[in-house]
Amino acid sequence: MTEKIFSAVGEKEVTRAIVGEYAKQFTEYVESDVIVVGGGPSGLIAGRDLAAAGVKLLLVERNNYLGGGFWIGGYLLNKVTVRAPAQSVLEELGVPFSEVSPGLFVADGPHACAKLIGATCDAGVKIVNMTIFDDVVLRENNRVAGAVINWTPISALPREITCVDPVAMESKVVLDATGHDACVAKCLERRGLLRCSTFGAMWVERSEDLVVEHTGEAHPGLVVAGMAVTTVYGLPRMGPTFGGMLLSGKRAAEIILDILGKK
Amino acid sequence: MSGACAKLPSFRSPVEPIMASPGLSSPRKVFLYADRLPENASAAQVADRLRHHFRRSEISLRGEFILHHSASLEAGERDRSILELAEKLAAIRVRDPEKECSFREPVYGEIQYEKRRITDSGVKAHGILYDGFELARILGRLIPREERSSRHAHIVMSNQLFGTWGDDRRYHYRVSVYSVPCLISTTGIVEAPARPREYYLEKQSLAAAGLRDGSLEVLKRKYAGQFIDYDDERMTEVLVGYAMQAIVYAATGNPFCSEPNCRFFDAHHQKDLIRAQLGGDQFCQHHRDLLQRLNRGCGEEGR
Repeated sequence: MTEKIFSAVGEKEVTRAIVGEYAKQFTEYVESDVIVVGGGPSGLIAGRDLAAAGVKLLLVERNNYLGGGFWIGGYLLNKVTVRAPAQSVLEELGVPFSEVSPGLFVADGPHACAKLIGATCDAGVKIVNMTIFDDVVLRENNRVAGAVINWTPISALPREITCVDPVAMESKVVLDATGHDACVAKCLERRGLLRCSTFGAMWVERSEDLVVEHTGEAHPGLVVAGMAVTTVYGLPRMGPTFGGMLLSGKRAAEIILDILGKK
Repeated sequence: MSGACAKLPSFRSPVEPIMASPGLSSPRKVFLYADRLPENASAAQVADRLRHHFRRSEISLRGEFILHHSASLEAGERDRSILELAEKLAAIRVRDPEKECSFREPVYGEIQYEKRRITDSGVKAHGILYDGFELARILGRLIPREERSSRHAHIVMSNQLFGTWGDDRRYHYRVSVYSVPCLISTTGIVEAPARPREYYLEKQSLAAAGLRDGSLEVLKRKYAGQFIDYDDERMTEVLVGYAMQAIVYAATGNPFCSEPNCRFFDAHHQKDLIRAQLGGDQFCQHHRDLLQRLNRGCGEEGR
């Protein structure tokens, strides 16, 4: 008789494991310190730094994969560039890179992105993917206190059968790391609580610095990081400037720790 | 943005200085504020050079303007004052350089940013355009009564970018705004006077091809020396010239000279700025005489 490679487990055990473990984690994270909306480079690095500092954190990602645009650089080529001092983040993550000209560093996109995702998970960030941000939870004085979420495929269903209600997750702070869409900030704008700029009084050459330095609390309880910053403050839209995203995420983490009184 | 604003370097308030001396004398006390200067700009060296040129003036170096003038307030009052200033500064951002009044009520995050900019020395970005006259007006209100006279000059050197509305109905970046206080911008020194025309043409080509990390640096290296850059070693020397203009403005109400080789020349192009400010301490006959008159009585002629 041939010895089996895998243990004998039936379909029902597999299903129980998936549903049980997901439900256990989901139940635990119905209330957390921080909800990060968006799993691109700024959301991931912010999540990683916060979780490493002991913050209970849930990351919401609408796709099934994490990393956003960090897998590839310009022209669909999978080399990513960062400018000094952002190479220190690559160093921190253990991503191999080389200096191609003074102050300009290049790394393999897949390697950098995989390392970042790995570091985020290792730090203790819990992730719900295939999940879209739907609305904000508001508390006294319109302070943001959580996110309303739903399954991503719901948004693809015909309107007639989309009466699938979302669920609300509570948190002390929400981080909008949804890129140019700035989904969370735009949601507040629709409610008349925040006004995003349509035109910025800035110029492109310094926009990466500005994104990092404008990273912060845009509304009580809502911190904005990464490309979402450009939408909220009307900064020039940038190309694949991943250094700015990584440093913006780190700045967001510092600000959130400050808000949580953990700094 | 850079293409949207015509580039002129400096500006004098259309209003005559309220502190202008009735007679010809340099201000007795000159306060020089170093506000987020780049590392290559030495405020101490600027102060030393001013002492050499204006021997009857007592030149003092102070730190950041807002923090200096808020230092004497009690903690609670200081926090309130800083928040109020942050609101005012966020409100004078030029939202659209093609519109004269593009100000609007700032959002929460913009106010928080300005607050951080005041209190956190780590905030160094300088890409936001503010209205220069409004900025001078806001800062001017912080100067205590005892320091608001023709015997005092306040010169704020910072990396803050400002502009003024021009006759051609657009905002123009400025190197300096002559008012109370006088504002000098290191970012303005880099961005306001026009660089060689070829530089902009090549930059446009790069932008059309998708300006990427590093490509601008390569372009800058090609034109190195033909304009003052952010990390330029010559920044301190350029600041000396503009600080001198500020003191002469306080003394006479006119900071400028029409002679291209004079340090008081109002340069509109980088090549003119470099010639006027980096050609050695050169002055036209009128300004040589003026400096001598301002220094008269100290036993030695200023140059």
